[in-house]
Amino acid sequence: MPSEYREAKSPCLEIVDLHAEVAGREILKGVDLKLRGGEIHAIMGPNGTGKSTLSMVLMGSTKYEVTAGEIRLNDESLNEMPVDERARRGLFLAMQYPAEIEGVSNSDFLRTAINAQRPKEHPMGVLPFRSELQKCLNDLEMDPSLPKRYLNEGFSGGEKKRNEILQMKMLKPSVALLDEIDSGLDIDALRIVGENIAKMHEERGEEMAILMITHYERLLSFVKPSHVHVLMDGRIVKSGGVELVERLEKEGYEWIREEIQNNETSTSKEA
Amino acid sequence: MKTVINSLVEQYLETGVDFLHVDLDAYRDPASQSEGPVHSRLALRREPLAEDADSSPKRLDFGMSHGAIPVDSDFQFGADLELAAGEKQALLFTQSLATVAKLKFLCKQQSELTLIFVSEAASRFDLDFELGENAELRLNLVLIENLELAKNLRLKQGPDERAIQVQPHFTLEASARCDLHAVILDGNASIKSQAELRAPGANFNYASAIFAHPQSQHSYEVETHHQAAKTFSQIRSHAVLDHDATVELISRGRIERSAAGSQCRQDMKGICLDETGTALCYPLLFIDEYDIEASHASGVGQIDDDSLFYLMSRGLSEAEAKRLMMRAFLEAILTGVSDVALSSFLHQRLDRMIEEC
Repeated sequence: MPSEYREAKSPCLEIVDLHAEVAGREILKGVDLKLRGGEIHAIMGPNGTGKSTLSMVLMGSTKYEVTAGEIRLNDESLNEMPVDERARRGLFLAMQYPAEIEGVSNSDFLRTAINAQRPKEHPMGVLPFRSELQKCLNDLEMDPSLPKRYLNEGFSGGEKKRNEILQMKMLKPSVALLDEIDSGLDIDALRIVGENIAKMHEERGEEMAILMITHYERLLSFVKPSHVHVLMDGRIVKSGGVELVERLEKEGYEWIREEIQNNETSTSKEA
Repeated sequence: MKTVINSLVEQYLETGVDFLHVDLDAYRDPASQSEGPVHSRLALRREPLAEDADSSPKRLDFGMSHGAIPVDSDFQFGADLELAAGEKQALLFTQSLATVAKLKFLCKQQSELTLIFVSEAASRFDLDFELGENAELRLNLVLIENLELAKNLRLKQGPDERAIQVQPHFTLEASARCDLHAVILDGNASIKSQAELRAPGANFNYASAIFAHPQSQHSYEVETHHQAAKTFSQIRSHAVLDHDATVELISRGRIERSAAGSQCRQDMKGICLDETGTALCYPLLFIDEYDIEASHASGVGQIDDDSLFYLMSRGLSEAEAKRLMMRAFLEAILTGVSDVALSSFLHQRLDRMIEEC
């Protein structure tokens, strides 16, 4: 539910030894992570190591099966919770490939989504909705005709990503998962998206935690992470601050692979 | 049925569209004791036309107060009906007894016509539309059927018996254009349409939205026949099938050798709400000319999982998300219904059906 209707003001998302598989193949092999309100965590890593899988599993996609571990939001387990309940608890996923749905207008959808997350006796009125929507459209420099257009249909890649951020601004989640929100964005669109995320983080402070999946430093120049993690082979293998990003930009991931290998070799020698 | 009829009449009374309720029972030959269908050629009339009667096209100008035609009215559909230019008109046909009727409409200019058939009996309507050069017709066609009757008919007479059958036939001359929206939100129905594009520039667009009630059976056939150069046709059908429903969608595009520069497009989609629904799509193209553009596409499946996940990730329950998607799927067609009163009625009916399924 939007922040004023949720019980806990400062969220806490805990991921404990999370294992998940799809079609019998294990993708996540023991992920541990803790996000608190006010924090921005960036997850980086080579292609195919489980970054998007992590975001989908957190949101509750039934395509993936959690085989071990736990996901807790504000001390409540999400493992058995369906997707819509997780959303109503304050989880939001900005998708890498948002679905296009012909026949559903953006504004109808947004209003339905907002009211789905509010108590039935407190739906959002039409005028406040329109006012807030217009403000968000202006912030994101989006086409004013967007509310009447069908959900993501005919949108460019950049428009789809901005539409995800528009929804995030309107729904005001406690934990926002941004799956490669910067992919496919031109320079201007990246600036707009980055600035809006940063602004939302600033305005909401401890009421919101952000988990960003990204490949590149450029988004992180707008949205400064408090924590940076590298996901490799289904596990978080390295954590640090912004300096980790700088080293990755210069050296890639090879040095991390070597570190892991050296550690494994030392461990087996000791054994 | 009375509730449906009254609801429709109320909608139209508010809009001021020229609206006429044609109670076909009022035209039945009172002397006839036959229980079989009443055959009535071009006429929904109570008396046979005399040999010297004037059969020139009658202007479809209602000029009457709204409501059912009184039984003793001398208003006759005695001949071809010419659609009034630039006006919106609506005809509601109701009957409680089996009927076969033929109607012919002439369209010479820009017109909009809504035909609504509400049936409590097995009936067939053969409709002829002649569109002259540069004529434009926006046609809304709605079939509403008594579901209990339909079920009984099938049990008594076999599975192929359809309660309402409508067979519109169109002929389009040079640069004539027809946009037909057909909406069926109820039990069994059959529409068999044929459009002849006789001269260059003729343009025929057919869009249908079907919500098939549980265990209902539907058959929709559309044929477009391109007989001249630079003629255009587009067929779109969207069907939602509830439990154990069957919908057959056949679209046939025929392009003759003389039809260079023509375009023919077909798109048919069916969503089955569970594994028991059966949607059969037959997109057919018969092309005898090289210089044309033609395409056909059809797809049948259940509600898209990725879209469902997307909606649920914003807090909508699974049931809410499915309802939204069903509505959206048919809205893509319903949005083209030009008759505001009809559109309002259809949306209310659709919402109720979706809530119940």
